[in-house]
Amino acid sequence: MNPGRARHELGRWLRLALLPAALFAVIYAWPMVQILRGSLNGFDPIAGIVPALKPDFYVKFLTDSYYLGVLWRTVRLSLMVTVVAAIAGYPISYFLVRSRGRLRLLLIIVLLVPLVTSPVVVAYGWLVLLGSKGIVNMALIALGVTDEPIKMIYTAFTLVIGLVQVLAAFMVLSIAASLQSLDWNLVLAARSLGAGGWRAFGAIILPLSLPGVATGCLLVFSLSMSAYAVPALIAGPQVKVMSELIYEQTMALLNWPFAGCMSIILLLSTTGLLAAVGVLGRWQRARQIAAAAAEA
Amino acid sequence: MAAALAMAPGLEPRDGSAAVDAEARATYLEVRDLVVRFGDYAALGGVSFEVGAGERLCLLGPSGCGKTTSLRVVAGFIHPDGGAVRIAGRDMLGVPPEARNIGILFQSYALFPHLTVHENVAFGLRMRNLPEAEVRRRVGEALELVRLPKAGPKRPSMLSGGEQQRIAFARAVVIKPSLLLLDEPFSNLDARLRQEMRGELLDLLQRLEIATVLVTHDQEEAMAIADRIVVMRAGMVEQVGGPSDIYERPRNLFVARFVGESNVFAGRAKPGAAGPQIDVPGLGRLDPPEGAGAGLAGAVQVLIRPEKIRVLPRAARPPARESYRAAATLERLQYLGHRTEYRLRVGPHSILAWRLSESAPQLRPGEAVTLEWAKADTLVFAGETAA
Repeated sequence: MNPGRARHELGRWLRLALLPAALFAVIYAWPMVQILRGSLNGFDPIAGIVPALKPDFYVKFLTDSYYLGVLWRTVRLSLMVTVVAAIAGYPISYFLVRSRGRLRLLLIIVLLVPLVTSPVVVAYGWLVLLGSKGIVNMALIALGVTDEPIKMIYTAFTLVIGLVQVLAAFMVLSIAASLQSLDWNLVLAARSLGAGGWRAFGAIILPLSLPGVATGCLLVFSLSMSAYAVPALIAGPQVKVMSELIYEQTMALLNWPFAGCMSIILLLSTTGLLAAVGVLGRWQRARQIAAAAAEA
Repeated sequence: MAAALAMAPGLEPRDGSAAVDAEARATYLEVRDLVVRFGDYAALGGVSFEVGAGERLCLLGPSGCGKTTSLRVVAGFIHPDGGAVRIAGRDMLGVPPEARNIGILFQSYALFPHLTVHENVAFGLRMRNLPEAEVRRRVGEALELVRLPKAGPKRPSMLSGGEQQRIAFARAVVIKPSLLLLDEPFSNLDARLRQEMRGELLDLLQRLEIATVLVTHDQEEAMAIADRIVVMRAGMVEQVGGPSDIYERPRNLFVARFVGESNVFAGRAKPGAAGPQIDVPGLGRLDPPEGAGAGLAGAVQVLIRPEKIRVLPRAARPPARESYRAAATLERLQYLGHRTEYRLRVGPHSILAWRLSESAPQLRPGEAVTLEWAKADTLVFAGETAA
């Protein structure tokens, strides 16, 4: 390709990219810049927002054990949600891919329903199930397992369960996509070479579907980190996560600079963690390839 | 189609050696009356064949004939609804694929993309928990065998199609399998490479002397590699025999037409005192050699292979003994290098004939010619219509 033609191609490509770039700038980049800028303002309870350019709120957040505790809890619970979703989602994905026709359709519907259901309904469902007068507690009391209702709702446990229920679809569909593209002859080849069902799974299916697991984890983790409605409704103020803190500052205290600061911190900790895991994974893979090359 | 009846044209078998050899060998793989049903559809309706020790058997047939299903039953991937599979006398039904010690070369090669070539070939040995030193030695030998000794550290995706196939072969034979299954091994290669790999694979198989079952829809591939061929159609075995048996003495019209090209004419047989007389409209009356085609009556199909027909300048010489003649017009002539193809017209029939170019007569389109073919090369099958 000659340079003039290449330039022409590039120009065409740029023109094509113009509209999405403009949209991205207006509806995403600009608000982000606004939040970042706003987070550097000061705040006075009476006068409201005081224009400034100081990182005071960042210092406040990062030196206060309460705020750091909420951030740590958010990260911890999101990791739990991710792990539970991956472990529970994998067999479901496998089953989904291996099933056919109506059963498969039914499974997909079951997966997607919580996603499109209002969080209020999801939360109420769990309340009916796990509340102090809920079905589970009634059953336990009737069976004599316990005298008093066990506190199950408004705990970290219900938060994890609720988020897994809502976000499982992302995990299952990601894993299913990678299982779907797997050439089943590879499994048959492994079997013929002497691998039993489980060994074939561990040596072939699992490693080849890991990209799907990674995608699912990425989606579920970032969505858990920023989830608001489900934690607020079924875990409540007793299990506070970052999104609730941000909501509180924005809507109740009107301290937008601090809310902006916490949003930026949430964003950075989410993307930072994901990036760290990504780099680690790539490094690990490179090391494996090098090791295999050295061996052979 | 009616049960076809070959006329057994040549009395002396020209090439029965492969079949005789196979009988002399001990039966190694025995497949007996396999039945496989998918819902209402019978994929296999009672398929039987045997493979002798070190023998190469080919399952040949059009797609949907059940050849791949048979292979999968032998491999243990499909549990049959009926019948038996025995390897070296041991019943294999209920034995899972991983315990059968069968090497398989898949159509798509099925190399593990996340493992290096070395790891791919080592896979079966690792599953047998062999010591690392032995694994390394045997992988080295296997890569040497397929002439890719330096491919070990590479990923399968870095190899060409032919190289991938060789690695897949190395992976299948490194475990010293008791049986080798090849599933359409050449269909993913381009024409030139296919020929090359075919020869190479045959060399390897002859060297290793492993009992082999090859599945293909390509008759040339089957004839080139197999000692014996099982021609299948719609879940049934049509004929079993050596390549030349199948080609020269097909048992029915389906086999005849599937294996090689042929000219087919519809005719009627009338029982006569000295055997049946066969009338083929436009071609005349054919009287089969004595003892052949006894009992034929009614509708028949007459089949002549293109290379059996001699194209002569009109009335060049007196007819050869025990042969038929027909007057024809040359419509088209194609010089294809090693051979020359003639398209001829005899009455309502369009006939294909070919000769080796060096012995091909000099003819021009439109010329009147005489066709001549031996009685022994005329195959007659009972039956109404072409299959």
